[in-house]
Amino acid sequence: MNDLIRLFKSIFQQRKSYLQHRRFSIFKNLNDFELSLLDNVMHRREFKAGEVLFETGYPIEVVFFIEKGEVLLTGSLHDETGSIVCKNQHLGLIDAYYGGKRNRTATAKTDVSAFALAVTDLEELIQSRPRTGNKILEAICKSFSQYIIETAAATRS
Amino acid sequence: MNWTKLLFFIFLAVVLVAALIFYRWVFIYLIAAMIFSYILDPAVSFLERRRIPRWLGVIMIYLSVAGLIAWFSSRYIPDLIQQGNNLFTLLSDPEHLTGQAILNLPFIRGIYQFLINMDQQIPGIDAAPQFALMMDKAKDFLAELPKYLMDNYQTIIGALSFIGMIPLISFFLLKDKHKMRKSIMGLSSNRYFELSLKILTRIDNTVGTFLRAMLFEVIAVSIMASIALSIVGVSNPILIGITAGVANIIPYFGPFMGGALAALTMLFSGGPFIGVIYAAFAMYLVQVIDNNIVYPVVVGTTINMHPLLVLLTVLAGGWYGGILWMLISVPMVYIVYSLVSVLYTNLKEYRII
Repeated sequence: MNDLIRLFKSIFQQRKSYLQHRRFSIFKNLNDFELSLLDNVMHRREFKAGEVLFETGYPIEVVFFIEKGEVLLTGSLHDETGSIVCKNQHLGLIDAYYGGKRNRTATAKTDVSAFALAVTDLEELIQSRPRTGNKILEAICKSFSQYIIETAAATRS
Repeated sequence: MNWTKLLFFIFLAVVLVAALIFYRWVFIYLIAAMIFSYILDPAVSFLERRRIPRWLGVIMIYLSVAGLIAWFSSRYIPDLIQQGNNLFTLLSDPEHLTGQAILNLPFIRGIYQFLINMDQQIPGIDAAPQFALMMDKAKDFLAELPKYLMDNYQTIIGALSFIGMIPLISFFLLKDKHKMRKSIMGLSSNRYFELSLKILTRIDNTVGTFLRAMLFEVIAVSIMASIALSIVGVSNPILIGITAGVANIIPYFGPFMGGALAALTMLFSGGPFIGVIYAAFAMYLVQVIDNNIVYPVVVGTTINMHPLLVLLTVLAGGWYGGILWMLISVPMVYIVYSLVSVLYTNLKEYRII
């Protein structure tokens, strides 16, 4: 009987694949429903090793959230070797709030799977659901603070 | 590119062309359903953000719209039919509307007399006979209108079935909006992904905002015109108000058409000449409110086509297919204009052109 119930549950229960977005720091405080709304505007993209995600100077439209793989960032803001962005980190959020142009070039170091979120969709979500927006903006602030402190520490050392 | 890839793309192109030929008859349904979906989407999205699944949201909106239509029908359709009949009778009654009877109307008689005087003073112009002929033709056209509607009942039934299909197609467009958007974006290559997403978003926003703004303006002008006309005592105010609201879509000419209909109705119903001026003034007032309050708030900077292009579009639409094309030509050209403008700006920003 239990098996039968489990079978029915598996047929009718929706797959909550959107919960995976909680792994990204700026969405970790969102509840299930908010994540489902976010999932509506997330686009999964696959990049092969060596493929360019975006180039310096291009207008910014999306923020990438790395699901797996590593991405190499190069440009004037980085040293010659560049820096690596890996699993569960995001790319482009600072550029989105600074001039609207890409300040670096991102190239897939390994095969990369990422979610792309349009800045306009993110802004719409923030505006249309202020409570959700608050959570996201708070997490973005934390992320920026962390970045500033880490960069300052790296510069001093 | 290798041969296998090339063959695949050729095969894909053939399938696409075959599909286009096979589905060509339903394109018009699809376009109409898309317009309908664009109008209802904000309401469905609003409900979705309040934990109501999209499918349920669409059903709720449909029921609300159906309820609204039912209420409007029960409340106003009998009046509208009555007003329509009155207007037809007024405009097509042979006793009231022979060419000579029109010429005997006080206001028209004034113009006719003026033209006769002009003909006497400037021989060879023959303006008065031309005017009388024009009135005769106008009478013929108006008299034929009810017959035309009766003769084309099949077309009318076809149009009704067309209207019936639209909500059905729209249901799926609204329910699966996010899936469709993702599927469309899934087709783009990584190189053009950001550009494609940007273009899709801009077009989506522009077209959606424009269509909703247009609908809102039609409703606002219809209500304002109905109220204004009933205040100044024009008969059949709701019917004329709605006609003026719809005609308002046509830039420059539309407002004039609404005003002319109101003034003519006043004139033909035997009202005093001052009534004609009141009717024209009421419509002018509606236009002032529309242009200075409704339009800037609702439409705002959505439409930024050059006025000359708008004027030429209306003229070209009129020449091409009469009033119907005058109605749809500006929105159509505006959408194409936005498409090209968004494409051009973004292709340039992404250094593709």
